[in-house]
Amino acid sequence: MNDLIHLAWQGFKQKSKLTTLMVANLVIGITLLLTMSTIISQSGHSALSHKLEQLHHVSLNFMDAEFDRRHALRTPPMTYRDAQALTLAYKQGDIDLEGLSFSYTTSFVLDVADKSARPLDATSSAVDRAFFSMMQTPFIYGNVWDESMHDAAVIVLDKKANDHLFAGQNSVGNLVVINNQQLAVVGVIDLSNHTYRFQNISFSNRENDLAFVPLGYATNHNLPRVGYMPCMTKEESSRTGYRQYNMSGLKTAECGFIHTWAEVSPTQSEEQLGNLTLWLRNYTQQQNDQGRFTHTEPYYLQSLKLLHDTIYDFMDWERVYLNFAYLLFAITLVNTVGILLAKNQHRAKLVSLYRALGANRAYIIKIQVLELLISATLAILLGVVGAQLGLYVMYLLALYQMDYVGVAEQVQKLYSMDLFFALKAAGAIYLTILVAGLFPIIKASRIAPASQLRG
Amino acid sequence: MLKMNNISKIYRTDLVETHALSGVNLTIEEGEFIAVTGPSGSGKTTFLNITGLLETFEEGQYILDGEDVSQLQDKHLSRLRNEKIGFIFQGFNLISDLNLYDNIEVPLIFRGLSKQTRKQRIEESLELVGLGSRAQHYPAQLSGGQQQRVAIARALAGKPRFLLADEPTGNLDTMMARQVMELLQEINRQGTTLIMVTHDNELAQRAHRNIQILDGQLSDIAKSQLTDLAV
Repeated sequence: MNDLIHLAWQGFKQKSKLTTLMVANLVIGITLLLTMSTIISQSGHSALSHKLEQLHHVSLNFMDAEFDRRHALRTPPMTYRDAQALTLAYKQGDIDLEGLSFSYTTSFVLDVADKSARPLDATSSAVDRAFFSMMQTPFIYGNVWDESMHDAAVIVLDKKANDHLFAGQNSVGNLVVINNQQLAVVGVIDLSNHTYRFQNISFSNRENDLAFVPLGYATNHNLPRVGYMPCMTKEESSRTGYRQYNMSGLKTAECGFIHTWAEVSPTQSEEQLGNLTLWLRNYTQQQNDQGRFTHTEPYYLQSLKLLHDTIYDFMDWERVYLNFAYLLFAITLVNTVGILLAKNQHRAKLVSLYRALGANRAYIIKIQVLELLISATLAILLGVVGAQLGLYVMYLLALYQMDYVGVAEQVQKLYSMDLFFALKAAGAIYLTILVAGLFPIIKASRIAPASQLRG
Repeated sequence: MLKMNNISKIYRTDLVETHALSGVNLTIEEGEFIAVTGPSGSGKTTFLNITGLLETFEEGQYILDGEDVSQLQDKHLSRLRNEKIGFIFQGFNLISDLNLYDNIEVPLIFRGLSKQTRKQRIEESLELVGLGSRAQHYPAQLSGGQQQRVAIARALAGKPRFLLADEPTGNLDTMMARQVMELLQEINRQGTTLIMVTHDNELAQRAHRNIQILDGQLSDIAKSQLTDLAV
């Protein structure tokens, strides 16, 4: 094998200008292909990829009959009273589910009691206890609050907030301050694997939750409602008040702010979804008698997969770029074949000499395949480096498009190469280059040696 | 040890059929030195290529060292070429990117010899052609005669039964040609069968036996006839 590698290396070095041209040509194609396919792959990646068909966003469409939802990510969250009705039905056993979770998007300034760190403007969520198990948020320290603490002054921090406020130390038991109220840290989770803020179906890649407080505490202490909060036309004028301070008014208002997630069992999903759908249909029909739910689509039950697919549908430009990348890669492969043919034409005499000296056709093919693999390896390595640069440029462009308001770390996740994906892509590229190179290689092995060795 | 029975070779194009060799019958014994002469286009090189298993033939039987090569596959033919035949070309055909050591090593690699055996054989063959001290030189650093000696060393390193030389002195001046011929004769004296294609009657006269090819037909000729042919 060493001798074979030695001969292949000799072949690689011959006609160095053609070899350089071939590698450079492949590097350009691989760079573009890896850059765009990484972005598309990361965009399609879900932190809960194994639960895409199990988690469903539940919505009761209380909006006006003429409300135009536009797309799945603008589905109205639930009103307070509809969420209460669903909770009651779930508790009474009218609905059979693996789990049900309610949350709303909020925001506050996080401070530490001893002022040892700068206050942090934290995009957050008010959630119930079930949220953590359903979303499988990995705890680094501590755990979720107890069942009895649904309205207690406790908080779960994300790693980023914990790093900022407590220098990454175990902060469980420490106190943080929100609106002059002290809350005890009960756990720290790491959401670095969550590319999107999907829990409020915004699918924002700019920022994610930095803290989670109990839903009961948030409503009792009137933590603001931020994010998408549609109201019926008649409530529009009061919306600012509902967002900021008027919690009691919001509880009876036709304004949606509570995101509801239902988890079904993988083995009984059809049955459980049917059961939930039936309840939603009955509930909206019953409420319709009271003049509510006049919209033609009174409820929505959307899987996490469907929501991810919606995001993918939005990536028109990226997909166009990816198609261009495939096209360019195909062109580079055609160029590679051309360059290999040219190189082999120049080396016909050498191949003939090898044949005269006793190399059989299979040996010639082995040498040239190995030589091609050396070129492909070099091109792929340089292509990976090129793709890293390409991803960095795309990341800077994305930040620029967001007017630099996104959290850099969060945005960068979409533009980071996943090692497993890179290995898979490299393997596929190897195979493609090899297949493309077979024609010139086999052609070279069939040279009639006698014709080349005269004179 | 080498026997050809009624060998024919035809080159075909869309318009013409060229009979390069017609009904060649030949037996060569071990240790012979054969000179093959004939005018340009007579079929000398075709004969040498068929003898060296570089070309196939349409009709006849070719027995090399007791083995009928007519029906052998590429893998088997390549092995025979590697083990039993050494080539010396008019244009030397050395690999310019490799030094002398590496050039001679190539056919030994194809044979799958160990590194140690290869080293021993390369050193021996370089010594034999008088270039033992120049193993690390590149072909471009040598004269034409020295390059041909390297090509001979490459052929000898494989310890072949036959040495096939196609105009081995064609690209050399008189003095170098004489040196190369003396080397080839010495190799033949040591037992290697030598088949040499040449235009040069003076060189052909050094052979034990002379064969002439004319219009694809092969015939033995006496040395005395060589001068007449040259006229």
